[in-house]
Amino acid sequence: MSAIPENPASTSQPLLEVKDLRTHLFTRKGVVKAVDGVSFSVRSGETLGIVGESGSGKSMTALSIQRLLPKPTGHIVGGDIRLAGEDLLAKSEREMSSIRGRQMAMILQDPMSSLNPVLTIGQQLSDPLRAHRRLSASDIRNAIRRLLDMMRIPAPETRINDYPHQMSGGMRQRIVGAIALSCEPRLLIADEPTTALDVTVQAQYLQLLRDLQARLQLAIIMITHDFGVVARICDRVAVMYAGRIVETASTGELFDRPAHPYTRALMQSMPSLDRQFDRLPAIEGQPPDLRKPMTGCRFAPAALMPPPSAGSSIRSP
Amino acid sequence: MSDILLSVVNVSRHFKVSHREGLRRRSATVKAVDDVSFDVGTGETFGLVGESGCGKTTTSRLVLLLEHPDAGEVRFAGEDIHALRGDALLKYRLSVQAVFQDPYSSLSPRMRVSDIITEPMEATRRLSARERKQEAGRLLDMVGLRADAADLYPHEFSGGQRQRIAIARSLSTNPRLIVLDEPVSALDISIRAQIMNLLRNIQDRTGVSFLLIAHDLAVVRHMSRRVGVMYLGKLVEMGDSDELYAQPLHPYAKALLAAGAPIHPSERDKEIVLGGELPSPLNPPSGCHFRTRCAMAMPRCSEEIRI
Repeated sequence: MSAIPENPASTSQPLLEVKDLRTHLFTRKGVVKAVDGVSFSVRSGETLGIVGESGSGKSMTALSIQRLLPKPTGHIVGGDIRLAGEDLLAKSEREMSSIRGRQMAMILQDPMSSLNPVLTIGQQLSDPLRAHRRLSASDIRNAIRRLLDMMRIPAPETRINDYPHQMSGGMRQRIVGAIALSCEPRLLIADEPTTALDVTVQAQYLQLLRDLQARLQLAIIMITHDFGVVARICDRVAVMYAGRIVETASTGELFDRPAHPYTRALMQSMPSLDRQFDRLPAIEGQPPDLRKPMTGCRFAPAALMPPPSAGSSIRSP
Repeated sequence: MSDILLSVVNVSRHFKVSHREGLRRRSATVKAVDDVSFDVGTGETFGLVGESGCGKTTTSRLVLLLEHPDAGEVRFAGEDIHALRGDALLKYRLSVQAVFQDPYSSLSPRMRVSDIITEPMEATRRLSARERKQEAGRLLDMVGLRADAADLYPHEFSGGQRQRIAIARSLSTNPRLIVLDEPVSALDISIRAQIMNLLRNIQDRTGVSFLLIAHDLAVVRHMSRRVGVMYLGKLVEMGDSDELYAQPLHPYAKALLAAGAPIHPSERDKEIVLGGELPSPLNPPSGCHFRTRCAMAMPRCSEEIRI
């Protein structure tokens, strides 16, 4: 694996460091090596994109960082996760629940299922504030108003009493963002936050995240399969395939000179607006079964341009 | 354009809804589809794009006879489809099939693949076990699946393979038109290209027409020669896809194109992002529906529609 290029603008210590993370799922049908030796780091004020298809291990990586793996199947079997220098894998369950929400927060794909339909958004926003910050009732009300304002929700006074179904998808996802940011976390993990939104609303949401990041010096991990999202928000990108990172690069570098055959194939198979009405170069076949042992490059069976030695050793891109 | 197969002529579909305002009930009308016209030629793909709530799915439901228009008519091979009865109606239903967005909910989990894909054929005649096997094999081959898939259940397949099964089912009656409602948006990007290519190949081989409904402009660009853009129930722009993508005329089409375009990271800060939300279709803005989000809006836009 090649060394991860650092963001030249920042010289500070990384906020989050993940080293050789291995997460396995112990299922009845065998052990799935969902995350198989993944390393990366994120600095404050920086956005790292993790790109891959479903089953590539990107969401499992996010859940491992939060220690929210599905129980009892998911286990972190090796590696190291450090947030601001602290070893997250050595924390007790209790310590983790005070870190989640306060130090790092998560935004999930579907705002309809991550909000509770029978509570008003004011009630849902006050939960984390009460749990982590122990504010008084009037302070909570002020904090909520500030959060809604920050997320550019029009008429926050009346919106506090609304239920999720009274809002549009874009507004709901901004509420989810407000909940995530309510306790001023330093790391935000966003798992496909815009996939369920319309394109024009998606562009709006990403712009808002970028503004907030600059203001709060947030570190963001953006999990996505959409290179449009990557281009709009990420500073650096890690491309995942079959449980491993196959390529890490700055976003500009990745768009101009994708190194790994998988990255190249992925970018080519994307329909684009300036390409004519024609056939797309598709990646044929299916991703490999992660229960089976693999040697060499995991993309080799599907690779469009298999290098001669791809069967014997893992090639760095 | 080649000969016209489907013709949607000034079609409107309005829904009466009642909603509560305090203690009072008020009724209102949602103009889901409002005076929409377009044609789909034989062997051609017509793409209909727009954001959620713009009426594109209601339009497809009108074509599939799942909705009745309040005004206007839908003509298929010259005949008003909502006036068809008896044999002519059955014939229409067999000639027009659909593929939906989510291949997880559009296939019955309790049926074997062979039964799923041959079920539409059974609308007209009973198949013997041998015929069913033979037909299933033929259809699976058309969509690039192995014949032994016939005996399996949908849960044994990935999303892309399930969408292939849904396409096989839609082909079983030798349709002349297939309505594709977001056929690839639930699939992974690498699989999307496979399915889009498959659909193009099937069209080349069978001459079937597609009415493609999608919110992804790039998908529509690849699949169709002609495109219509919908906003709040109205078709705001329609044309040849090369021209429309090179030079969109309506400000909404421009904004939609800009937001959907895969930009280069260096252009990030130059991007113009459409502000505001889609207005409520219960109470759309007067005059031009788009004026509340339009960069080119001027006072007279609240009174008249300029384009």
